[in-house]
Amino acid sequence: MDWIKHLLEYLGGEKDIPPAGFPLTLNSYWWGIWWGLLACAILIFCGQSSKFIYIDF
Amino acid sequence: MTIRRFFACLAVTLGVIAAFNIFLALKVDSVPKSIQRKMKAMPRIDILFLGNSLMQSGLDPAEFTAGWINPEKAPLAFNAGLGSSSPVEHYVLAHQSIEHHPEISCLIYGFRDFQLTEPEGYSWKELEGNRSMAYSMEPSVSASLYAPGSAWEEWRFRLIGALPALREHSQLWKYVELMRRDLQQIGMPKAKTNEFGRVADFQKVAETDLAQFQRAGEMAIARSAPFVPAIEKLIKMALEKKIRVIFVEMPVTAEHRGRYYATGTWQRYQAYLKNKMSASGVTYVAAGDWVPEDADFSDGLHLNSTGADLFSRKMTTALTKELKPKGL
Repeated sequence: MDWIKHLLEYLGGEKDIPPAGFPLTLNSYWWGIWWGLLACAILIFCGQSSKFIYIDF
Repeated sequence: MTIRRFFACLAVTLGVIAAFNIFLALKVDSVPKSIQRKMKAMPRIDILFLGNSLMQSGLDPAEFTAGWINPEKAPLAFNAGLGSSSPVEHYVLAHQSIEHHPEISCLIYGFRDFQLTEPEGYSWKELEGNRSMAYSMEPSVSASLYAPGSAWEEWRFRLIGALPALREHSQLWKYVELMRRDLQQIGMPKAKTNEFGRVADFQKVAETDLAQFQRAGEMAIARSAPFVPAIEKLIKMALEKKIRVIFVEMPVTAEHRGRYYATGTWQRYQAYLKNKMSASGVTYVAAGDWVPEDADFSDGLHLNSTGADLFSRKMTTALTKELKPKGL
């Protein structure tokens, strides 16, 4: 559980050192993909009105 | 991370977002696009039905043509009714249909309450679901009908229309909403649903405050409210092409008739609309009481299949006389 917590903190930018055994360092280009996926996830989930009634679209 | 690495990662991020946009542009489908495809696949259209979900659920083209007085000369009808939409989207669908099928000779538009004279909002939050087609199909026209003369709105609509991640946002939200509803249902009695969503939601939509309803009607009469720009343009386009236009006050439940349509306000507003339509060269058909039983409604707004059959047959009977002079 501590390792997962450390990993999430690292991915979220709260910690600069990855948990033991995690291959992604701060210099990796994979961070670009991670940020892109986060941007897409934000687009999918944010801003939805709570007055969404019709779902036939 | 060095500055150089940071910008390299940022470039990769932009690449992911671009790929996401391309994926949405190629893969996302929608009800308006599906209506457009079906419309184009029709060999011929003589009568085009337009309106929101009331028309979508209420008019069965097969039932409508089956009862025609001369089956050999039965017109081909197409229902372009679109759930949760406004006159602007209806105008765009009508425009595209008429461009593709210049043989259309009659346009039948179903409406409810003050829809023809009461402008609808067009903010980012309001143009969701099927209404977001305003960004993807003829965005400049949609902007000019929602906000006539506003260059800013035209550019806003065109910009959103050019970016699939923005213009298709509702299609993504639909799945989030369905997931949210599934989660809400865990451990709860199953909510009754129909083709448009939860029945209880539409019951609430149908219950307008009576004082507010009367105020809206009286204000429309007092200020001699014009048709909303999309309806004005729809009438102008149809009459220029010698297409007959018929506006149909769609069937409503007994409760709606008793509570709202029995008021003096509605009767005055109805008379006002009839006069206005007569002056514009279009026809008004009052079909609010054509489906007398509430059992023929699937919720407080929409007809079920039995109600749709009844409404479609009555429409055939009423329009046979109207269209006979056109040779249909």
